[in-house]
Amino acid sequence: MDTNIIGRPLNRKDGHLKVTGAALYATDHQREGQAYACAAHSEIASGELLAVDATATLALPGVLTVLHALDAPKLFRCPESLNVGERRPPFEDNRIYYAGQILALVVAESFEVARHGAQLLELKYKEDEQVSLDFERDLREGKIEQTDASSRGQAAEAFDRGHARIDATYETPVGIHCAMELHGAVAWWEEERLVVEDSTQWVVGQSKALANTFGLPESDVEVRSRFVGGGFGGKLFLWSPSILAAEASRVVGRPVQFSLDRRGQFTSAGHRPRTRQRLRLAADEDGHLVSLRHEAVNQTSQVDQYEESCPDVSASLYQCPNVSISQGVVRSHVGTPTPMRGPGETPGLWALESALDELAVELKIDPLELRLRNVAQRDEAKDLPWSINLHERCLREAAARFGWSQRNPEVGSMREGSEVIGWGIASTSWAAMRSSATVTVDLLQSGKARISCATQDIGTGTYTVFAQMVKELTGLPFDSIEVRIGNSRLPTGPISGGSMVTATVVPAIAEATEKAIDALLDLAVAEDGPFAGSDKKSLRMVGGKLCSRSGGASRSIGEVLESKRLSFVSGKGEASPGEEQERYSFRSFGAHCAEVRWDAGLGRLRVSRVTSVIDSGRIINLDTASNQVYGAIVMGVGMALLEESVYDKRTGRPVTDNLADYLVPVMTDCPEIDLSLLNVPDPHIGKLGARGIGEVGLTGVAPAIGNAVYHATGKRIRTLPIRMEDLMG
Amino acid sequence: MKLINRDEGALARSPSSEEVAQTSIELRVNGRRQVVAVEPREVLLDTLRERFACTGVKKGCDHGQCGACTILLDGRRVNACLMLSVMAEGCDLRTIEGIASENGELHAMQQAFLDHDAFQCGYCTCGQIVSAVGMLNEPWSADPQSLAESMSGNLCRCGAYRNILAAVSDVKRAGNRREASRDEDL
Amino acid sequence: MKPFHYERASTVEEACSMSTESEESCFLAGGTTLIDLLKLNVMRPAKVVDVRNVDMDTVDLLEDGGILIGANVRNSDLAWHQKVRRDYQALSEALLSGASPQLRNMATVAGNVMQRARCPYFRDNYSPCNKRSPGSGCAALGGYARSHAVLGTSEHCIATHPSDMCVALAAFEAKVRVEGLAGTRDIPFSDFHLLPGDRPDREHAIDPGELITGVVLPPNVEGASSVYLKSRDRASYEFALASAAVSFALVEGRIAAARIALGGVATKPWRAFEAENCLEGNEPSSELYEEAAALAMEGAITQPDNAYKVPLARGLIVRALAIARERVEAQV
Ligand SMILES: Cc1cc2nc3c(=O)[nH]c(=O)nc-3n(C[C@H](O)[C@H](O)[C@H](O)COP(=O)(O)OP(=O)(O)OC[C@H]3O[C@@H](n4cnc5c(N)ncnc54)[C@H](O)[C@@H]3O)c2cc1C
Ligand code: FES
Ligand code: FES
Repeated sequence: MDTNIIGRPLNRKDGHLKVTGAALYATDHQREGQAYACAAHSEIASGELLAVDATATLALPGVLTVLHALDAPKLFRCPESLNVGERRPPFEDNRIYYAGQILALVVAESFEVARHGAQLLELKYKEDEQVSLDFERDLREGKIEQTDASSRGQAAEAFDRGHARIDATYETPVGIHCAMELHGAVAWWEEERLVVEDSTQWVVGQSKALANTFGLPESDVEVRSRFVGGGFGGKLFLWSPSILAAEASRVVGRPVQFSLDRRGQFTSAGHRPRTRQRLRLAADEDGHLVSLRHEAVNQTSQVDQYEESCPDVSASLYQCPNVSISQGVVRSHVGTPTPMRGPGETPGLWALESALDELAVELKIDPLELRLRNVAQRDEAKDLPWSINLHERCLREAAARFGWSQRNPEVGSMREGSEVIGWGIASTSWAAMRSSATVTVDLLQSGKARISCATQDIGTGTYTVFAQMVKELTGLPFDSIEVRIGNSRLPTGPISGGSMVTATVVPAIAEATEKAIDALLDLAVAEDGPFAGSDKKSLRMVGGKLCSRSGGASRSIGEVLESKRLSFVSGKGEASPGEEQERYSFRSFGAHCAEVRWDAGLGRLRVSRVTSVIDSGRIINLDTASNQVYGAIVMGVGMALLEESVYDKRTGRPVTDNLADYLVPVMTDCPEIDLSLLNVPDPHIGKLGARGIGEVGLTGVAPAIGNAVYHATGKRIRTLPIRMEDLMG
Repeated sequence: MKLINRDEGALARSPSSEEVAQTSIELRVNGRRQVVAVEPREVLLDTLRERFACTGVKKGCDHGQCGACTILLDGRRVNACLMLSVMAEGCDLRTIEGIASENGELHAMQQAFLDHDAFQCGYCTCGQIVSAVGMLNEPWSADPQSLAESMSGNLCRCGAYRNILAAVSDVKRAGNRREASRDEDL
Repeated sequence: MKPFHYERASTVEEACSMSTESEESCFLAGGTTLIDLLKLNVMRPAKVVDVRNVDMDTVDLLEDGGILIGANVRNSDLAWHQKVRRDYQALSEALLSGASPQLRNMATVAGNVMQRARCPYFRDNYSPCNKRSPGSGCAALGGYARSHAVLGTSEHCIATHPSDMCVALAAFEAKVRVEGLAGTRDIPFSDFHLLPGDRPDREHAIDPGELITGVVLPPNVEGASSVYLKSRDRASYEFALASAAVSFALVEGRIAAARIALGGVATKPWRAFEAENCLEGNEPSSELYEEAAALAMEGAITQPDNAYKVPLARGLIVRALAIARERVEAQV
């Protein structure tokens, strides 16, 4: 395949719709006769709902119905094999497991009436004496359930023999995805069939889960998500808004729109759980790691066991003969956590990359040099060779672009006016995966192409990348390619998570397109075809037309199809992870260098500059890929310095449960960014060698910043976010 | 901790929804006039989305904390989520749907957002573009820091800030150049 | 949000009488505080009186050289106003540091003076809160109080006064002009906002039915320069964790007409009178600034989460004084 153009930027396929407001997201859809729902959330964290007095609510003109845990049709659970946000469907019983749990739903003619009705509900509780809300206390009291552990070598003994040793504990707070689009849906029933305009990172999973929840055959559920206003993991699995919109619609017999409000988003749609991680590292005199132990615990809910597998990355990122890692959970009265961008790796690397920096200080070795000395030659955890590992190159190039050699290692030595400047470095990494997908590509009588796959574009550029692939293979103009995604009834496609879409679907698109062209060739050389009698191999497709390799007239797709009076020909492509995962280990690697500025007088800590060099295989579209990394770096700044969902320990209620108190970065927080994507195809991960870029941009950003803060101030902050009060005094 | 809930007294004194007259107001949205009957408590953001089908105006927070609902009110950018619809009576309202010219030609700001790939999921984008158009009427200087500050009322969780800033700077500088050459002509 | 009556006033008298007709009434200006709190069900008026048509949206020069800022003047218009930028620089800077460009286009001067606390326990509508539900207690005490006040607190309330603009107005010794059916009065800024004491629900020295019609700023002191500094986590679009407005002039090398006001650390816009006295008549020096800053924060009562505000505010005062001095000197 000619892949010269791949990698070159192209304007987004869906760009025009997005800049004109014409792109319709879930709750932008309006159905005839639509009603509106609003939820009432639990104000207590643990107990029972005893009664719901809805008298005042039902007396409001315009209220259609009130559903609540004591009076709602029962829904089914999903099987373990299906990932869902919360295993327990809403209103299953009257138990209250966390503050913010949805206890009732008011359905009304208008949003105003529904909201007013929800505010008028009188909820009567019985509060439990025993409430576990205090993570620190639970840890002290050892209420940890061990879930996972593995090891190689003799980590404890090797630690004792180490020349330099670090034993430190790191923490990350509850993080909230805060996609700008809230979780919301418009649902309606067509006879027995459920249709949901939804906001999901996985139309296929969502429709399966809804089918199970409502006891329907899968073919009777259609989930649409043509545009998704951000996910970051928060919309991977089924959460209550889609269920409740569907349930309310079933009850009132009309389409229903239901969306969480922003506060509800903080309690009832997943979060990155709080973690505590102990790192013990030991190195020999030359800075080679001789022992690494990473023990992590995360908070989970009462009803689900969500594990944030922080230590996994520590077992393979660097070379080390003696490693032991373990993972545990503590149950609290909080909502169920869910993956958030770079799950596991993101908090895990905060701990590992901070600890390495501490080790470098201990050893008096440059932190860049320490990492270079420990680059893993193979994946020691999986005991497999890397498919490709450009970690060292990323580190060297990032350092060179950043100007690392100018760094004065002495703490607080770099100043400018009232600011002290710090430089930090960290590795970044994400395990690359592929899942399976089916794609069809149709070549149409109109001379256009249509590509169909039940996956979705959450802003990552799926529309664009798909069209680009077909353009590449057919020579059709970009505008003549229609991309149909975001509907569960299309051929089964992958989840938009774990950076998998591109790596998964791209090979299937290639196959489907090639097959469609082949089908067209068959028609062309058939008896009454325009190239009757020619050998298929002598023809090729150029600029969207068939022509002979030796020149001569060309025939359009339309002309070929017309000869048979057909509307289109199709090709189907299927891709699934091959046995490559058994032969190689796949990881994306990179390095971030960060510059921070601390002005003690103003209490002002800012990230002024970030340089990132990342290898994530082949880049299909440089614009959309770079954009994702820029965004990941911004999110990393938020994680390092701003973001924390705080719970009141006495009540378990989130306190910073809105966008004025949970601070996500604004434009003025965005550092100057210098990015290089190496764009080296992975030799073993399927046709084009693309590994996906969504997570690897984020995973090492926070530690790079934390290490820079140390370099500036001499303060080693091990608990995120790093705040001015940590550095003052 | 004891929960303090509804303040009964205040509720008892409040009018019921029947008592509160619906008022007919004329709104001018993207040049189109339409009379709608609203309750005083209806919020402009909801009216625009539900009655004028201006769904490019997004609800990201409903509390003035994100900028996704930015519209132009008599040419000035405001958050539609913190206005009652009755407050907009007699005003000229412009949403993303009315930013391009009648013949469909994109506004320079929309084109710049396309050219700079200044978005990912696109959810904040309408608010960003309208906000940036409103910014052009305010006395901000064209240096990057000032422009970043001028756009700080619009959150983008996808973090497309770098490209948004590039897009906004382009249009701002082109505008300044045009103004400069106009001044010279005078 | 529950239903309410909505009326539009076009004169001061109309506004006042419309509002006195109903006990539970509320003026509406920009709406950025009121509508926010209506949605949260924290404010529940039976009637809303829209005063945006009342003719009070100009900035007028007064004979004594001061200005009268109409109650309805938008925060953004005031911030960019020529005279304000020149003579009351701290006010312009305070306004531009507050909220977002969109909100500043909506928010009015009177609304900003009257804005309500951002304490999460006040806003959540279910925690004990003496401000919202008198006598119910204060959940912020013993709760998460990182953003709460350290000055002017009581055992009944530690909510911070959130305004930036008011800090500058306090430093410039503004007066709030209120008009009611009984007449007009000018309330000195430091008397306008009330300390929480045992009645945190009482926030202002304004009577029911009285309308703010403007804010009077006395003329700027000859040769004085001012500055507003604000500290927060995010680089923009966030309330102050601490802020300082300072202003002074130099007369024969000595500080004259020193003004220091603090935001983000107190239950009302906070004048640091003792710190001002300490500066007055002395030659500027960093030691003096430190001394004044220490005096300003004397008597602070901190919570576990907000103790950092004391050194933070001190640092801001010192830096603001240094910048003000540079500005004074640049004038000459
Ligand atoms: C997300 C967000 C962030 C913000 N950030 C900041 C910040 O960083 N710094 C800052 O200082 N502020 C900030 N604000 C607050 C903002 O400045 C205030 O909401 C605004 O100034 C209020 O003005 P308004 O005209 O909109 O008031 P309204 O909401 O109309 O009224 C507020 C109150 O004043 C009363 N009122 C209005 N006019 C009069 C009058 N003429 N006489 C008597 N009473 C009157 C009303 O009855 C009401 O009680 C923020 C607000 C939001 C929503
Ligand atoms: S929806 Fe209006 S500012 Fe967020
Ligand atoms: S593009 Fe997704 S929030 Fe801005």
